[in-house]
Amino acid sequence: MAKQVLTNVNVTFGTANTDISSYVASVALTLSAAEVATTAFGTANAVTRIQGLRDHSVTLSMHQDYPTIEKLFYDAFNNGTAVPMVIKPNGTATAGSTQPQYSFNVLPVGYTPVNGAVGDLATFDITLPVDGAVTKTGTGA
Amino acid sequence: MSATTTVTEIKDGIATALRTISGLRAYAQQPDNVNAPFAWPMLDSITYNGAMGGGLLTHIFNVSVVVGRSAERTAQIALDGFLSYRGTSSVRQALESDRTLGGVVQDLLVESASNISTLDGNDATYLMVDFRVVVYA
Repeated sequence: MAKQVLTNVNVTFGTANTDISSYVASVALTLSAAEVATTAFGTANAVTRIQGLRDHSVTLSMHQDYPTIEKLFYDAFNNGTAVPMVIKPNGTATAGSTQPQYSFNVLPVGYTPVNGAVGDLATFDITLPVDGAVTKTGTGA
Repeated sequence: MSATTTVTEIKDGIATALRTISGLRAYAQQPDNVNAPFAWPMLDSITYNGAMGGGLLTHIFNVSVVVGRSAERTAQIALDGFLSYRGTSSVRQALESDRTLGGVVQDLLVESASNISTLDGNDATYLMVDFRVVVYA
């Protein structure tokens, strides 16, 4: 697979797996783990580490749409429970080596339903912590 | 809307909206003849990929309005009406009365009016003005 430009990342959000891709200006899924030091006396004069608890998050830059997107994100925030998300970098095609699928649940802990100055396009940024693990699927991915 | 909307559909929508101004001839394309007052949209730029999967295309149009012979007082009065924020001759009001252009686009905004200038044609000098219109499809 060659280098590529992202133009068609597929993003679904919520219990109904709503496709929000056409409202997504940018998306960043960040995988992160705590760094736990294991350095002890006699470890060859170097710091050693192991991976601790994982704590992932996803950040979206969204175009607002009050009949659809606003309700989806407001209801998710208002319900206060984790909702599923799926991200695929190359559209809706089945997961595979060039199309890894990342599935996870996110917990809505904040939301900015109105954001912008006069004359601006209505947008909002949201960062959602992942509840549990991120599952990657796709043969050879 | 979005990736399925054509430039021609947007131009047609703008012309239709402009025709709601009494006495103003509006065209989707630049007309061949000078028969003032008349208006037409000219596409300045398109920004693709504002969202994933062709979810947002941003078009910038210049809507030019040729008002009338610049030496005539009626043309200058008409220009005031076209430039006003509100009123039956307001270009902004006409274009923003249906910001979806009949469901063709997601939103539009008449951002500014500028370049009040003259146009030579038919052995006469005409007064004209450009409106910058941002269309989100």
